[in-house]
Amino acid sequence: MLGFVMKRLSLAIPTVMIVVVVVFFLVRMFPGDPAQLLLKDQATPEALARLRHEMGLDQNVLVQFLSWLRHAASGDLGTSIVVGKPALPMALQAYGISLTIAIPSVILATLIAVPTGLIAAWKQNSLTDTALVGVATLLLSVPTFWSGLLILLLLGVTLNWFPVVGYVGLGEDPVRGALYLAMPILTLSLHEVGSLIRMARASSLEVLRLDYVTHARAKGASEGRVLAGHVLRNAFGPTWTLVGLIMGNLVGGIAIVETVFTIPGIGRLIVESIYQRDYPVVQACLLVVAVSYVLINMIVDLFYPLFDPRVARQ
Amino acid sequence: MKKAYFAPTAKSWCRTLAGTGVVLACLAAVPASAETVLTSVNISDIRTTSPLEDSDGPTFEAISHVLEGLVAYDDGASIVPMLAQTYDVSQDGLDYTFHLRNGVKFHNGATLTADDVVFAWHEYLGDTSGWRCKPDFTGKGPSKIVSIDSPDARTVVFHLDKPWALFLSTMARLDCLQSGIFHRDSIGPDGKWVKAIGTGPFTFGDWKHGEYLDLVAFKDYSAREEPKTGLGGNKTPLVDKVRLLTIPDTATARAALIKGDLDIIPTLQPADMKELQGKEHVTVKGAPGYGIAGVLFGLRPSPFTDLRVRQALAQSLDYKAIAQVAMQGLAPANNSPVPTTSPFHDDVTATMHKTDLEAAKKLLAEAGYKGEPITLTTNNRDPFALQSSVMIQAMAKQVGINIQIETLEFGAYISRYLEGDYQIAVMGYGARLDPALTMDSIAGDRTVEKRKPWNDPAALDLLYKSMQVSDTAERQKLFDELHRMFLDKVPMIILFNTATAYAVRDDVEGYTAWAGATPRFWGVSKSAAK
Amino acid sequence: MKSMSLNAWLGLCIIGAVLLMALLAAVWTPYDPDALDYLAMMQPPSAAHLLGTDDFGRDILSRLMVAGRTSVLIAIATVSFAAVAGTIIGTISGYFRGTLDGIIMMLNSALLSFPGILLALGLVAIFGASASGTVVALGIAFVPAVVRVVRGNVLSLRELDYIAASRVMGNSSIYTMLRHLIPNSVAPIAVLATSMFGWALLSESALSFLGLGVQPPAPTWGNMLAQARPYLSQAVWMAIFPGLLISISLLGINLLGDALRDRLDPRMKGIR
Repeated sequence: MLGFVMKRLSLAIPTVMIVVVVVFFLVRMFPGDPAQLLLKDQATPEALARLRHEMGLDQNVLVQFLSWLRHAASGDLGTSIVVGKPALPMALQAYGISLTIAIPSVILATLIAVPTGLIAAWKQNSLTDTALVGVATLLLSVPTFWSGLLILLLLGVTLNWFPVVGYVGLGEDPVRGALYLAMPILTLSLHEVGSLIRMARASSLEVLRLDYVTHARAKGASEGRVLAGHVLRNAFGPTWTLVGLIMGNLVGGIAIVETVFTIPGIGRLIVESIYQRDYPVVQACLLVVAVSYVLINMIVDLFYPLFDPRVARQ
Repeated sequence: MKKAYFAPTAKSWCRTLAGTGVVLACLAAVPASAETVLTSVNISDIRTTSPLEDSDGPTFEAISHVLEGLVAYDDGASIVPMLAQTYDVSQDGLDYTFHLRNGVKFHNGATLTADDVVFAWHEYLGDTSGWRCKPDFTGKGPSKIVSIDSPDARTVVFHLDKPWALFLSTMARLDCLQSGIFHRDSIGPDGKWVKAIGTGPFTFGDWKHGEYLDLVAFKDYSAREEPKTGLGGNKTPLVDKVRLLTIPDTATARAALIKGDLDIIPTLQPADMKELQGKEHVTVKGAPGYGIAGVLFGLRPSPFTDLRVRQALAQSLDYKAIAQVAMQGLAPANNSPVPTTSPFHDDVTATMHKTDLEAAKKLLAEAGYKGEPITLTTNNRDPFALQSSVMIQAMAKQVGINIQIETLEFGAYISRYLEGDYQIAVMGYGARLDPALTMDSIAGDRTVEKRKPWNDPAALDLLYKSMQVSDTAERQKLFDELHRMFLDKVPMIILFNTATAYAVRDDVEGYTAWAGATPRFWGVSKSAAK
Repeated sequence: MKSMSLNAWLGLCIIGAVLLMALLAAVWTPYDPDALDYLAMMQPPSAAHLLGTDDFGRDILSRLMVAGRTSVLIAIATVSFAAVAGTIIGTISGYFRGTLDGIIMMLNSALLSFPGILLALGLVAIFGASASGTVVALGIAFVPAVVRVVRGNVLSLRELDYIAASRVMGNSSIYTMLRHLIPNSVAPIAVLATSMFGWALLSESALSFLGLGVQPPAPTWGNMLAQARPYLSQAVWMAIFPGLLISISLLGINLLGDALRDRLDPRMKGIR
């Protein structure tokens, strides 16, 4: 297993490096810089020059990059231009908050999707199956910015079940914190459940056709045992991969949900930092996201054998 | 068996959570303490607590609750004394003598003396200071501070090198942090800013980056006796704490106000008022302000280089309709760089471009404009910008001017605006409380300051004069003349003064808006929880 | 056709309707989508305005039609861009292997580890928030997915005898790629293209919603939804219809994509 980890890391590191370089130069290609954005209609040429100097923007780009690299090597990813606090802790904290939405939503979606997909597969081509697939497809077709708004209006404002704005960390106050997370988690789950049901159904179908399932049935095992014992466990494999994929790609989709529900997560932080041209924070956040994507994929692949014995035997 | 494994655990997990939830919810229902908290909103987090760094609107507004200066703006955009009891100006206009009030307390208990004023000002004007207004006081403008003395513990004298009508005005500017006086302990032994120790009605409390900032009431605040006016008068805090939530999304903020999670939205776009009007327990108010919005002519080659084409555009617009839609009827149309709410607004400055479609068409024919497309650059941040743009496009079409609208994301837009890199653009400006300052934001030498569309040396001379001369009547004459020049040469078409609105919940008492359109949380209380 | 399921039929109908609407919008809409009418601002759906009017008094149905056309065109352009670029890169990479392949793969994984919408955000900020900027930004963001699929396909194809035969016969690499490899990659590309069309539609809406896609006053479903947010309580129809149309279109695309996958992707055959 150590060999596996080392091999993956050796591939991952250049990937992350590329991400870092691309982001650094990409961000500086945006029209408008943080000094202009700050001063807006008050921007006199002298004020701009002074501010740019303070922000270190008047140096040659390569010099800026090398300087950033040097600091990054010792863990210092720069300071936020907008807030004045170190960028990496900001990014990590925001990422942690995003996880408190992402992970529960994936768990919730998986818990609903796997049994549902299984049932759909089991009753393949029946009305139930068609209906379930239809609902799943519908769910994944509804954009989160629309469903989020509707959920906010319905559950938050009209029914008044959950607070509509603000955020309380789970660390501070788990119960109140959970209330703030309920609607975003629901919105995300609804969206994910769609693709997960379809994937669970597809992999269940594959397994259901396999010989050893027929064999188990022939031996007289009850339908329930067959389903739970063999199919579920094996169907979970590809679903697990999809889960990993979703987790990895979640950050993008999460930006919208975090904006609508005012959660200070990493998606929202990235979008706002782009708007504000807060280069260090954008860089730190994207680095965190890239690294986590690599790690998540690695973990997913590591655990895959648990679900698919065929792979484990290799 | 996975299924069997999951089921019981899930059920018992749910039960435990529900149980804990019920218990904790009951505990939470018991009111914490009797602390009154006012909840308001910032569209972005503040950047710093130091006035010695350049910064942005939310930061200036927050600091205006913590620091106070020698003078302040009142509701009518005039200057009133704040930390000064009285002040005198010498005959030649070069010496300003401030007599400080007695017994004004800093947040750390120290009493304000002239030494503190001198200390703070030296920091403001110092080499390492990033104070936005430093250039204004050190020679960029019509005058500069030569020296600041304290002949005794309660007197401070500023010596200028030339007469400057706007000296006190500039001192009191919000984006100059009102030249707020801070105690020397605000700065650490290493020269770095530690915390804002001022004389204001609030101190900075908890600051959770990206989430909220607390302003904690200063119980020993030394209040003036005059009623609250502008950023002056009696500023006694009537709540224990003000929590400024960072909510970049305006729709979410409005939803929160409706629900009661927010008490105040201090700056509401006029377009957003409708959603809140008529909602239970919410009061919405609006009024015209000092900011201007208008159409600027840029440096990119276009038919508008010809004065006649500019005049044609000016005569094709129905200004009343534009102001009505963009400002929701809160502000009247105004073509003058002198805001309608300014004391300098008179009959002359009330004159506007005449809407005359036939005359406009004739001018276009004379100038030889044949319908070439023109790009109007606007931004997607301010609702009034897009609304005005769409209406201008429709109205200009009537006389044959072919306008295409290009909407940019704000960062890109500001960059183009600052470079003058557009054919025409729609832009809004923040409030400036003196007409000379308003005109200064749009008039200048375009070879040096590309963002300023009014590039007329004769006008610049008059403007400069209006900054030096203190006599009101004389300044009025100058502004009148500048207004005429502005309408004649059409370097820019001002559409209206931006109105600001605010919304409060009904249990909030005493919150009002003022000319400068910034939030004021002193003198505001909350009646017993509804 | 007989073997097509209900869902596939539904998908086809929906997409057909959307495309028809987009085509129609080019020649006729009930009202001029840019025509302002101050007397009829924020009117609920009525006989005069079937889906109501917006905050400028513009007819929502007309705008939705034109928006659909814009969104569809952007999505098609994006998918074409990504498909063409991705196929070229993927084929070259898979065919030649070696260091070139290694480098391309590394760049590809790097791009893939960016959350798609954030990469698009960044690119749009550079290229400008507009229709063309969106196409380029999203196109670039989708290329890695195409590269991965095409390369995978080419890798398995190049082991086949007739490819080796082609080389032995003296055909140049380019000829081999054009004549044999690319045409045989059409199936997986087609399946991916239908998904990408959906992603493009969704991403364009999301970008517009965040303020970085096609800018108002030009309508797209995403920016119409964004513009409707201040008026959710007064004119909720402004928000319902654009969101509904996005959802329905995506539903159609997904259903159709399923059907296509069933037919073209041998791995999934039989699983219906």
